[in-house]
Amino acid sequence: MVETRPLERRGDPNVAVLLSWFLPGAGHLYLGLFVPGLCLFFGLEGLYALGWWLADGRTFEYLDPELQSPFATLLTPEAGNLGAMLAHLKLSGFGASEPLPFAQHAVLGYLCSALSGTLNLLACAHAHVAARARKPAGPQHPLVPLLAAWAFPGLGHWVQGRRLRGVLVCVLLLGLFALGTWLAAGTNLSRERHFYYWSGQFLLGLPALGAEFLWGDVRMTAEVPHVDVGLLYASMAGLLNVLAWLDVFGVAERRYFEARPGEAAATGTVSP
Amino acid sequence: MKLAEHIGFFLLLALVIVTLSAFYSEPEDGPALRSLPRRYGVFVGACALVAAVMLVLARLFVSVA
Repeated sequence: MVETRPLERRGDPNVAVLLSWFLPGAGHLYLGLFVPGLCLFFGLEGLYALGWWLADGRTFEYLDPELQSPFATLLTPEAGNLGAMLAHLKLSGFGASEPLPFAQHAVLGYLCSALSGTLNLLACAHAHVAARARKPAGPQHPLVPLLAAWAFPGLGHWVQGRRLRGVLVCVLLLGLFALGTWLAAGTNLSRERHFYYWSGQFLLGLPALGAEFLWGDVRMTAEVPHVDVGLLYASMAGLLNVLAWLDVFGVAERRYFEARPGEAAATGTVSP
Repeated sequence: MKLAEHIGFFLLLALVIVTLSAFYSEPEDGPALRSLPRRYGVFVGACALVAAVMLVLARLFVSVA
């Protein structure tokens, strides 16, 4: 993390991140950024509420009964929007006690709530940067390559001009995901079937979302011999993409803050 | 599933893990790529060691034969 002088800051970056994690936009409001704060609050909370409504509040019912506990849900993308997830648990818990058909748009519903959690993590990163820079600093805000890295593996590196690295990340992670999906015969593209593996592969961004949208409703008629390997590969592709995000964000924030005349020399920098 | 298949699946996944971790650790592409063979060898060797210890322990203490 690049360190900045306290006088240059809008507020404590850690406080801003914690507030944003619990309530989207709260960190920005704490920093005095009212318009972005309100936009994030209504946008991300609205997205979660839409997901909750579409899924009839039953997203966590996909968890196996022996795994149903408040701590288990912390391993889901929804945990990125912690306050909404806790409200979800308080309002709906783990669904009905007797078997009931799921809502017609349950899949779209859990995609919305999971997206809300993931996008709020990006909002937390934005709050952290905003807390440390009173004025716009470098030519490119660190959120731009981070958003690109989340959207498509390797795109964040490409946007930063690190083309070779971007291509390698893209080929490796998309290849691993595609191979995993093929080995699992598409069963990994269903949160109902594999709740936790799905949470991992969701971190791959739009390719995982697109694949689920196109082939997520596969009907199984025979045993899949390598399903365990396929699930592991697809989930690992998403989890390893987090390493790529961190790599992109570390370089992006260093370039952003070091671009400020005089600041880098005055504060010193710490590589990520 | 055959042992060779297991090992093949593991070696492939290990390659992706090691490559991503090398890129995360090294800011420059050149040193990251040059360090891959050493990192891959250490990773696979360490995993083989853990597997060997687990097999020995399983054979000594939890064998049902």
